[in-house]
Amino acid sequence: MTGGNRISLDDFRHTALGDVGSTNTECLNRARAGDPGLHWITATRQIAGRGRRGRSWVSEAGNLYASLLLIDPAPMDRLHSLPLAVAVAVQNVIQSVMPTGSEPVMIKWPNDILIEGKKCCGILLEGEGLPNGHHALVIGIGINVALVPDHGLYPVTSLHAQGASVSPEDLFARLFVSMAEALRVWNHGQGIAEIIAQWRSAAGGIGQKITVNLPDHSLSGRFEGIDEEGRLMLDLGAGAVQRIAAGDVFFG
Amino acid sequence: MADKKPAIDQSLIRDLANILNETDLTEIEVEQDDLRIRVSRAGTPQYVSAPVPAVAPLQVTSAGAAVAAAPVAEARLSKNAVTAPMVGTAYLSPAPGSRPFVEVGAVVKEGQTILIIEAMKTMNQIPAPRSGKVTEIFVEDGTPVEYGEALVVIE
Repeated sequence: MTGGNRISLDDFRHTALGDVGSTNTECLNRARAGDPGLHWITATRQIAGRGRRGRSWVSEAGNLYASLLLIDPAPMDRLHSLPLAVAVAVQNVIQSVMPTGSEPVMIKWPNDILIEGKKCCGILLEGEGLPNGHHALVIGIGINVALVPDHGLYPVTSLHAQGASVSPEDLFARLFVSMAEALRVWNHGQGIAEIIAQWRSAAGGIGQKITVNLPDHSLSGRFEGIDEEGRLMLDLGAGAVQRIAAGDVFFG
Repeated sequence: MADKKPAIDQSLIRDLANILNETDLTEIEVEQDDLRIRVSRAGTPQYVSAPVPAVAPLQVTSAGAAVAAAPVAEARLSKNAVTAPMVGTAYLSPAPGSRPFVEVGAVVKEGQTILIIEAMKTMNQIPAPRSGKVTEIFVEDGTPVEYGEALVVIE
């Protein structure tokens, strides 16, 4: 599907499972077995849910655990913008279930979603080259619907705690539609300008002082925004702007 | 600045290079009056219009003039090197503190994950392009890699 036709809602499939190790692993296993992609896997519970860098993602029944398998979603040099499209889709979904007058749902670079400054969702993308020459990419999304597992790193919340009364099933139905729309706009990476515009309008902290934790040190500066490749632009002062491809952002 | 010295403030460049090293940045650009100086590490993409060598160790550009300072890194090129397919952060193990995917001397099979490059929160598993023995690992865990940078050598 690289550079192919625009994605539409009818192209997607969904498999709902009970207990799984991890929905991302389920997707990768299916990709290795030849699954053509555009396939959602959801689970009521994950036994071995994981986050970035091997962190575990506590996944008891009550929250949404969903992974979408894509095969050859875009040429390698355009894939970097996919997490932004994912963030846009998830932000839209969560905003759509919030009661009127509630706190805004914000994107934290690159693709965390915060309500009232608290994390309510985790997104983990994993890519892998397949033996058949195709490239598998899995978008893993965990949304705190009813439960608030303590992850230690950030303040956390759930949709129920923020006043939204939605079930994981209803939320997934919305995510199914919203992700299809975001991927259609993203258009295999060719629609990045529109995605960045949508991302910026939902992003938190632009213009503010932030700290970015990198693997072995931290950088503080003013959050300038993101560049055309989705990298965070951090103004370190004296005209020096650092572009960062990966790291953990802290506001204030 | 003394009369005999070039019209570029070398101490400024030296200061910038020091900041570069201290902060582990890949690139710094400063503007002072009509002078603009960019200091970057080897392999960092250059955005200046002046022609630059393919492997530019500490590159310094000002209004129209290009001055190459002393090399800080040697070019490591090998036919058998596996290069980075993207810009990102390299991880040599699946999680902090766990065993690395490969070590020097290890025999790998084609398709086996040799490291992960994280870009934009996407963990990309980099497979061995062929079976063989790992003879060199150029990258350190948790460090940034540039597109095309040699990662490991598989003989």
